[in-house]
Amino acid sequence: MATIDPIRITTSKVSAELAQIVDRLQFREPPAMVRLEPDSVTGEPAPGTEARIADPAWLLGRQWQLGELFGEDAGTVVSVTVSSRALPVTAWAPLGTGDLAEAQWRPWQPGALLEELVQDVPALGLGAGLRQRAEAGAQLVEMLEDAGESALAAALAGRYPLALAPDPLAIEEPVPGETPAEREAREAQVAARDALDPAAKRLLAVLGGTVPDGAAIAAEAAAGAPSWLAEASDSATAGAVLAAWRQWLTGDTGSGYAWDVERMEYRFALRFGDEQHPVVARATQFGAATVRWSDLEWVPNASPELPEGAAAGAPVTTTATMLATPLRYPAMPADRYWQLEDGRVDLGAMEAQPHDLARLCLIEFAMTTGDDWLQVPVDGLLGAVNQVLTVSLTDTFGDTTEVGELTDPAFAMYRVTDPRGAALPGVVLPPVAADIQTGSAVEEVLFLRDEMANLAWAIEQTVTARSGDPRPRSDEPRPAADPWPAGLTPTERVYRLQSRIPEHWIPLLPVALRTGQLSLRKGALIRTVFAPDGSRGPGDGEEIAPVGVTLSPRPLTFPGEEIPREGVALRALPMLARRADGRYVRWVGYRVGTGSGEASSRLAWDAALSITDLAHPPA
Amino acid sequence: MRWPSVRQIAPLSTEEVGPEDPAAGPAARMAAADVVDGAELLRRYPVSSLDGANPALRQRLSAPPQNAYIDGTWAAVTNAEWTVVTTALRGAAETLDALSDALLAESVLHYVSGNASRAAAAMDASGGGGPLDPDLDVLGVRQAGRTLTHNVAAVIGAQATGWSTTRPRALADPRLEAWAARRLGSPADIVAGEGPDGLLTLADAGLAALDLVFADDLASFERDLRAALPGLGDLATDVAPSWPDGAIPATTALALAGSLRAIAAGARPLTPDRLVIPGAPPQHVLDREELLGRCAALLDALEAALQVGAATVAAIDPLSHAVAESEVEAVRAAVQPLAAFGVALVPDPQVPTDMAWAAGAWEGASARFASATAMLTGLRSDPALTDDQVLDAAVTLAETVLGDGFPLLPVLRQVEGAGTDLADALTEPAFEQPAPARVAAFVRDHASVHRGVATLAEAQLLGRATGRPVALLPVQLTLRETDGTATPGTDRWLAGELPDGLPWPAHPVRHLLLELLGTPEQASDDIAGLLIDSWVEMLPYQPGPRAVGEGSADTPLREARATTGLAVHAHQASARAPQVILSAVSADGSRWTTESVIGAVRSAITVAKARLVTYENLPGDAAVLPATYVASPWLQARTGLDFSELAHIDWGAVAYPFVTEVD
Repeated sequence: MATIDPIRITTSKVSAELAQIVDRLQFREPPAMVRLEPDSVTGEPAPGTEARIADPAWLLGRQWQLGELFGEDAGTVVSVTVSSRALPVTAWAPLGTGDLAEAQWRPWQPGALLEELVQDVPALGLGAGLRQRAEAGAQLVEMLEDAGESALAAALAGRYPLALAPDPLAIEEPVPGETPAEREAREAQVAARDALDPAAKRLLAVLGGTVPDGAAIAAEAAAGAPSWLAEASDSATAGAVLAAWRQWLTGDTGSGYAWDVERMEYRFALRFGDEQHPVVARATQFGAATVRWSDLEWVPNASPELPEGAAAGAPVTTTATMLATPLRYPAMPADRYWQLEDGRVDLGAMEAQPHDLARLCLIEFAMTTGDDWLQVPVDGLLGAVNQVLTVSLTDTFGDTTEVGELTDPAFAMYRVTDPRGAALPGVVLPPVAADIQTGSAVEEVLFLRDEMANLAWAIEQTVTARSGDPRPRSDEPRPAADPWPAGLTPTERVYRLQSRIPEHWIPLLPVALRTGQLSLRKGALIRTVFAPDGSRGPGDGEEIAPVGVTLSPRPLTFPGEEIPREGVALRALPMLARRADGRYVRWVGYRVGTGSGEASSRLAWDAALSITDLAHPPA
Repeated sequence: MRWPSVRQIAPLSTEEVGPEDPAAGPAARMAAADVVDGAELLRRYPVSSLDGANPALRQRLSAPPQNAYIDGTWAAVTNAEWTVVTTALRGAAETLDALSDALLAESVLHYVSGNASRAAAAMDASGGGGPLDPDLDVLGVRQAGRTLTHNVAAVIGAQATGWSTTRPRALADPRLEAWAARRLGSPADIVAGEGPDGLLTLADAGLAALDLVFADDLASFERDLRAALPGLGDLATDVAPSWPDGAIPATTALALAGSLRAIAAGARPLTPDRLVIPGAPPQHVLDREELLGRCAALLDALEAALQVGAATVAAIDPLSHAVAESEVEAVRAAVQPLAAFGVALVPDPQVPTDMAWAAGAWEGASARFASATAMLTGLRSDPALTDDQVLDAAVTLAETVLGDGFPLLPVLRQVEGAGTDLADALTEPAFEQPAPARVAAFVRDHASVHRGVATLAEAQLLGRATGRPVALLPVQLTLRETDGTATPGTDRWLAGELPDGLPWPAHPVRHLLLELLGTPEQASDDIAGLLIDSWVEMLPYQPGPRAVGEGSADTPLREARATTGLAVHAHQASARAPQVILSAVSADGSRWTTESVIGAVRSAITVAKARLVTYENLPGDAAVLPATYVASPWLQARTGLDFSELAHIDWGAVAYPFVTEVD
């Protein structure tokens, strides 16, 4: 033993025994025994999360520290029994004004999809498109042929001839009394229009006279049984084919009319349950792809009568017992300290700043409580209010514990609430499609504010052409520059009341229908057309009307708050989904999105233009 | 109102509005002007700060804002105004809180779903306002996830031929030529017009069906037609009573060909993985050598066409491009062979002796040849290329020579002994074929949402209208359980009705809608194909075989089931086995008793607890706590205690009286 200096052992005052022990110990010179230390000396948490190992006592101590050695008076849950009740949907109603008292309830047809009923805008469907009318007609022909009515099918093309919709702005037939220059101008207009939609005449050239107009047949069939049915070899079969064709073509006859163009949202209500357990939920701001619980609002105490033809809606009660499955997910941290983690877990790579609360909460969930949760799949009825009545857990000791529902007024998910926040008991599973396939937009309208012009614009970006194909209106040729007036010299200036605006920009003018409340009403610019000789041409002075369906209603008044500063992008999309019975259903509906900011139309009044300004207006 | 002041407190700075440009036209995109940043306003003045006698925000709003248009008379905030402000701020705070909860839930959903990137995006949106799809997945209801893979394709026998075997396009792809020829019908039934000796048809012209399909427009088609039929009168546009039954004018055929071009331009070559059950090993293999051989043949043909005109074009004055009137026809004839490769030959009718168009066409074709030859050389010299890479390069080569949108279909050789699922499904379909109108309805339904199917629907429509209908054949590649064994096919059309109580196949399903050239039996030979469209459909709930088979539970939810979930918070028993082995030796040599074993275990636990107290936590005292010490000259050398002295200490009843557990 050697004398060591200056080494001094510090002992705690509360431990006299330790002091005595220390007194008896002797110091040793190096190479002395060095204590293995797995602990961090810097305070960094990383060494702890790395779970370094040391001697057995350390390992055992860590297990004790993390609670792995504590026996608890608790068994492991082995099964979960859930009893639930479903109140099936029995009726729905489009809500024109949003007032439930005025709702016209319609019975819910088994297997129907909520989207096909609600989103369908019939005016957008078949329309005037040549392609759609021909396809519809050809489908009826093929169905009749399959049914053995080939002669009847062959005669349809003659009864319902296909034709392109007339275009008053580009008249193809010669106009009596027109001059050669006027004829040339008219033909140029026709050529320009055809260049925008080359498919129209190509299709008509082949299909005209050989394929019937499906829209015309559907219109006649809607009014009653067409006369040609009597010519069928089997009228009953032909009638059934016609009915099946109409079902294929237009879907559920009760669909549609939930779209409010002025609010740019769908409005509808759903009624669940029978007469004893009615539940009503409504949606008044729906414009997305599929209806979710978050789109619905519970209407307490509403109990509309079941419409005629509706199902009884008796509650469906079920009880199911399932194995208790602990929550597991990819890259879930292991619930033991010394356990090889999944290869995707890298706890050392986690980074979170103190203010990054969401990330911290997520990490805490994963690290500390992730293994205390059971996930219990519960079969629900699609298209119903599904209410869980009881949940009981059975553990390894055979003890059964009934667990209650977490009620946290500050956090509620998957709960449909009333306007005051009271939650409807149960989970609403709207009767929606598993998958909705969408095609290219058949109409697109962009609503934007133009603060400089002190109005808003509805810009028709895409419309359906005469062929039935979508076409961008921005491709339309811009009108030629106004001719320089004959009486003016080039150094003088010409007066123009208003600058020219593209024809697909439809003005929305601010009006005050109520005091202090701004609305935007669809207006119309006036078309200016010069004839080749400089005089006013045909169509001059007429209102420029929208081409598409969306903006066609008049009057059309948008509440000011519906067109915010960021604008609104409205798209009409063809959609296809499959019902539970396997049938495909098609419809065309709107999707509402955010616009692209504000617009600048360069609309100006009272301008004195030079010859250069007139010849080269802003592009 | 007080909003000018609020804007000054927390302005939302968006992108700066650009300077006014008087030359600019109407603009549908402009940045929003500055507005209030609600989150920042709440950060500065949280809801808890709004109560009290004279809150800070109320004081701030009572002070005049910095605005040149506001004079000195700025009244203090009234109680009514303050109520409006606080109501708005409380509403904003609740919205922000709900949004934070939703984003956290969204991040948890994606985290547990294994989608780390979307989980991170949701957290970034919550923490820093990053962009995020507003359609949160956590709000959705997921339905059962059975899928059906759809493929719409034309399958063509490898030996199929069309109108021509010598025209460049037919040479490049005889199978595509056969497909177009079947769609267009016999060339003898397509009337070009009247000639000196009666009707002239496309059979007289010697064109390939693909020449019609890839004609740029009516004018270029008419030029080609007149070059092939010098005595042709007016181009026929309407059917005449004197024509044979089924004959159509060339312009009508051109309209139908336009539909075929749309199909070809949007389609992809059919590959072996599309002809088997999803996930199953392919039963065909792409024939590289045949594909590259066709590319070489195409280039040889182009080279020969260039040779025809080389000397004539070289003789044209490169500056004026003018030739004598007598030479015009010779130049025209010299470059005419290039028309078959899609080279535009457009003479100037105003200056017939100007041959710039001919020289330009020849030079352009020559450049195409050089580029494509280099590509083929590269393809042949790199054996490491995969089949997909070779196919992509070959298609690019064909487009370089013949113009955009020309697909090159590889021949798919049947792998010996690998099975013939496609041919089996065609020759022995396990389900009853649906009526043609039902198949047509399927096509028309999907044409509204799938571009490729839309092109097929148009071709079907025009084909029927012109008396050239083509049948489409549903084929299903899957396995069904029959007496415990997997048998090919399924006994119903899965794209049709889905009756209650019938289980969905347990195996993946590929639904093919085929346009078949040749007999079903020929599908077991070498084939080629055009993949017109493909998509995966998510189905409504479909029960599995065990859900509806014998002994399955009878549940009223069977047919319209959606799976929801409960999360049950249940503390799990957390005791775990120790991860060390305790090797205990009887201290006094006596036999072990229960009491002594328990005592040894407890002693070990006590030692372990004491071991956790480290130098850093308890300087000094810890030096004498139990731990593992090693004698190591290369570890940090230090003076230490001689623990052998501890053996002489009387420890008494308590092992370590200086260690106390802290709760």
